[in-house]
Amino acid sequence: MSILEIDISVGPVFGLEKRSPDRTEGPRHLKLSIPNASQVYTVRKLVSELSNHEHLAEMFLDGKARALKGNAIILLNGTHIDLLSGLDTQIRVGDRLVLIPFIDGG
Amino acid sequence: MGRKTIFGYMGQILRVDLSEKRSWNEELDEETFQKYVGGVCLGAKYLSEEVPQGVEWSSPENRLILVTGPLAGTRVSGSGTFCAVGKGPMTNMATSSQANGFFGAFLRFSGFDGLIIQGRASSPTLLLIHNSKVEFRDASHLVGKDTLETEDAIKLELGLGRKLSVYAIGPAGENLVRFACLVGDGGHVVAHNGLGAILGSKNLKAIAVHRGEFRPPIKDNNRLSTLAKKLLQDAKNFNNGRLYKWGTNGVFPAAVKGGFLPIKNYTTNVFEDYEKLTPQYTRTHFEIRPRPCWACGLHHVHHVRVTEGRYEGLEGEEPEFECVNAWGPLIGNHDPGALVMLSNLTDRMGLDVNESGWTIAWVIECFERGLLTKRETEGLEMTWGNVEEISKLIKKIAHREGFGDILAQGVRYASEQIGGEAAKLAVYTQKGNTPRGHDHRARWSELLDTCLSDTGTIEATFGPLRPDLLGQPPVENQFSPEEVPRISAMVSGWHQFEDCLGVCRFCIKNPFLTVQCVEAVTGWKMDLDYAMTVGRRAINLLRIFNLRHGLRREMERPSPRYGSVPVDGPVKGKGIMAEWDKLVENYYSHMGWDPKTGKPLPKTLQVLGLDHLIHDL
Ligand code: SF4
Repeated sequence: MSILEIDISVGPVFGLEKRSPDRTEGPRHLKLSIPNASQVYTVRKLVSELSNHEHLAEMFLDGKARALKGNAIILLNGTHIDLLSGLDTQIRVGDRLVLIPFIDGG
Repeated sequence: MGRKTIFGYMGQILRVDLSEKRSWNEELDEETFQKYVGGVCLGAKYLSEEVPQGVEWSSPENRLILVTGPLAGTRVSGSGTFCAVGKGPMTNMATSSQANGFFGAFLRFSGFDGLIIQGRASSPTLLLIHNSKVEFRDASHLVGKDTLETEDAIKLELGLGRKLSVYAIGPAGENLVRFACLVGDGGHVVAHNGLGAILGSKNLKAIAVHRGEFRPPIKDNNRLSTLAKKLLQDAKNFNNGRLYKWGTNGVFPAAVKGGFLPIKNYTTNVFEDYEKLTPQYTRTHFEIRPRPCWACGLHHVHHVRVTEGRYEGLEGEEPEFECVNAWGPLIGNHDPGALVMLSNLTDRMGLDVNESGWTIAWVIECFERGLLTKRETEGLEMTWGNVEEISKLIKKIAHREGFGDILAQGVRYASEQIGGEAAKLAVYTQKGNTPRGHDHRARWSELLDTCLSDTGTIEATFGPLRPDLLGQPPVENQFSPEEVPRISAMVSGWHQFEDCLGVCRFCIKNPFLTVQCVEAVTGWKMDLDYAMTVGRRAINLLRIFNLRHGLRREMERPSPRYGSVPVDGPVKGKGIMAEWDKLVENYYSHMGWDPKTGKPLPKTLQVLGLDHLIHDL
């Protein structure tokens, strides 16, 4: 049995607020510990794990389909995963993932 | 008014001929409204019928078409919006641009669904629409005033205060700067493709509309009321409430990390020390108060007072995301107070912030590389983040003084004039306009849309592709030359339909509820297909207009820098140009256009009820 720990940095979250801190935005970093991780772990599996974390699920997963929302971006060690193997991109212990929600409008 | 009631509409358009100082009302029948709905689609119909090949943007025969839609002035949140259509100076092709505020609602309360202006006044003119009447007033005393001074002066002069909506041009529009915009209702902007220069060319300083006594007839008020509440709640919750809480700049932190922030004229995708530019900082450190548009419960627009730094005490409109980008990362500025100063200056001068930002960022890069010197800039030290020098250059552009005169034609023209290495550094499309204030190299769908659109700005998309909002599966790969054009074409039409309604896009994030609102107002049977067809009708009308006015496939490309390969950041090393032809041809095909030429196929026009235009091709 192995434990895979991944640092997740949820993009647009800051501790800058002087007044009215935005409590709905959740933690800036999160460690996911996944027991029994198979040798090959993919972003797709990570996305399915998000549904166990209510706050992240709300931000990143489509309500019904529980699939990654179309407007989310995931970076693996600073690179957009669509330039790697998309959801099939492999992740390893020590990798740095950045999940970026909320990119509409402007 | 003694006519048959058409639910959802005032039933008439106000026509104005400035040359003849004449105005008249034009009644429209319900069939026309059902086919074109309003806003961009109705505007495109008039543009295509009344501005023939050979008419230049600055010609008196060009039209300035301002149209609302069936939701304008109703209880739907944000329903003070209008759409402006004409032949624009940046592309010398069609333009369509929207502004929120109050004007759209007040125009309807004055008894009109739209306003079409032709001709050229013999002296500076203010057009006043008051109780269904039109007055041509002398505006000589307003010449030289900035946009906000003009608005204040007119309100004071007429004594109508908040019961008046004013849209005006500033020095930039008067001086025919090609990217002059139209500013009104305290800082709302009709931004793209030089609509303000069209007013300047017509000697029209401002348009003022009194909040009249008429109201649009609504078929089912109870249903509309229920739907409007749901729609507002949905808009407030959209994207976990980001816009509601933080405004358009709420996307800034995501843009930094996601690689779509435009930084120093596309020379990098890395921007450190950006925290003070985020709304999480400015909205909790500066003094702010909401300044919502007509009937808006989302009220994202705010008035701001800078409370620290060099510009402490300065007040004005809170900069929107694209203003933050233009006067922050794009020019290498990290001071949020300077950002407020530059954004408000740009609005006051009546300049489009996007084109201004790209133009000045290009000047700075050229200066830093020694391709431009103080000789050309007339002593200005144009280095990254030098905001005081930048503000001087903005004024020079608006007044077309010295070096500012070359820049007043836009960055494409200026870079071609300087030539050599400098010509390769400018960001623009080969149609002549510049993109919104983003780095689209990390968002291929919007880069493709900006180059292929017929409006002078985006057309099919708005931010990332969101097929899920239309009930379709999400995008799998945002850099796929098959998937990006296929899904762009699939969603193409929805945003144009939004721009037919006379309501702010931020307030109608749920397409299904939006369509039901139109049903409740008009009493028509409508579904998403109907709406998409109307949107695509607008797109094809504008495309045919542009083809008549010189559009060719080779214009549907980015400039070398706009299509360059990012040197760092999340999309490092991935360039769009290797896939460009495939992207374009796939998009053309999915739109029902000839994959080689981009011309709409006869059967596409037939399906859209535009058979009469087939002979044009
Ligand atoms: S959301 Fe913003 S722009 Fe839209 S109507 Fe409301 S305040 Fe105006």
